[in-house]
Amino acid sequence: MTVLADADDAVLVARALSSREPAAFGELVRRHQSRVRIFLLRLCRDASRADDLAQDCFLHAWDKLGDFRGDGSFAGWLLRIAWTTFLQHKRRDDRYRDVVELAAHETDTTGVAPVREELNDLDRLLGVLTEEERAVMILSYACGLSHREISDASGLPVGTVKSVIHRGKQKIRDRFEIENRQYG
Amino acid sequence: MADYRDDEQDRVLRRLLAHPPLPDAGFSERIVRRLRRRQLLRRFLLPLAVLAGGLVAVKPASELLVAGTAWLTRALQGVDAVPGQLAPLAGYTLSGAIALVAIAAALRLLDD
Repeated sequence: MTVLADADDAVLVARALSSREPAAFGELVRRHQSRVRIFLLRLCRDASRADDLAQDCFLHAWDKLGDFRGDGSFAGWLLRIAWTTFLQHKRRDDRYRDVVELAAHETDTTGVAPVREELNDLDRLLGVLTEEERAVMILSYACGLSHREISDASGLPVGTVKSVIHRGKQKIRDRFEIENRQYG
Repeated sequence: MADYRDDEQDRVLRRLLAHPPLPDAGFSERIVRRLRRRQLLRRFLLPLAVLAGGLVAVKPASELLVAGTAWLTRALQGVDAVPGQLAPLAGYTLSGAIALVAIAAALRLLDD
């Protein structure tokens, strides 16, 4: 066990691939679970859902382990799988929500608008960003990834990552300046 | 960590988005257990499925083989290069070869 704990990510990937034994992969999961779960938690804002997605992410990662070429960090590669897992589930949920909303609209005769959930500061902050901007900002500020690692995780070139962060910050600044002017 | 110069907004964003590291609390163990269960299922389910499918397919496959051999034998009897007595043997050989190729392709597919 100590041997596994001391080995670096690339060695553990090689061991997991050569033996197809999940023990070495388990060490990789133990090492990276926090980052993956925090990323998904910040994206979907629901702890149990984030954990389900994280489990799916690691199972996909096991299936695709042979695709990891080692030219970037394992964390970046893993977070890319987490991001695509999140998007796939979101698309499925959106389709489901459309059907449910349509059904609710057809059966709702009261004319009462649905109650909006209370939004906290973080939700309002991230709410001004697009999905992609939100993911990049979370990877940078919540997960502490470098631009290069964010590029691995998002599939965007490093230059685009920088401009997405810049644009995201600008949007947040503009939004909060407007609010301060309105209420402050 | 971040490879750019921090400004005040960076610090605020980091503070707002930061989350303390999540303890593993059995998470990685659950993943490993699920992977082992999946491996076990695959190890036993696939051979079982092949066996069950093979048992179901044995009768129609043998009938198909007999019919194919008869058809090939008839077809080869019309070919000048094949002597009359050798036509049934050539028919058996050819249909056997076709069956072998089909089985090999099926096993390759299952392996993938």
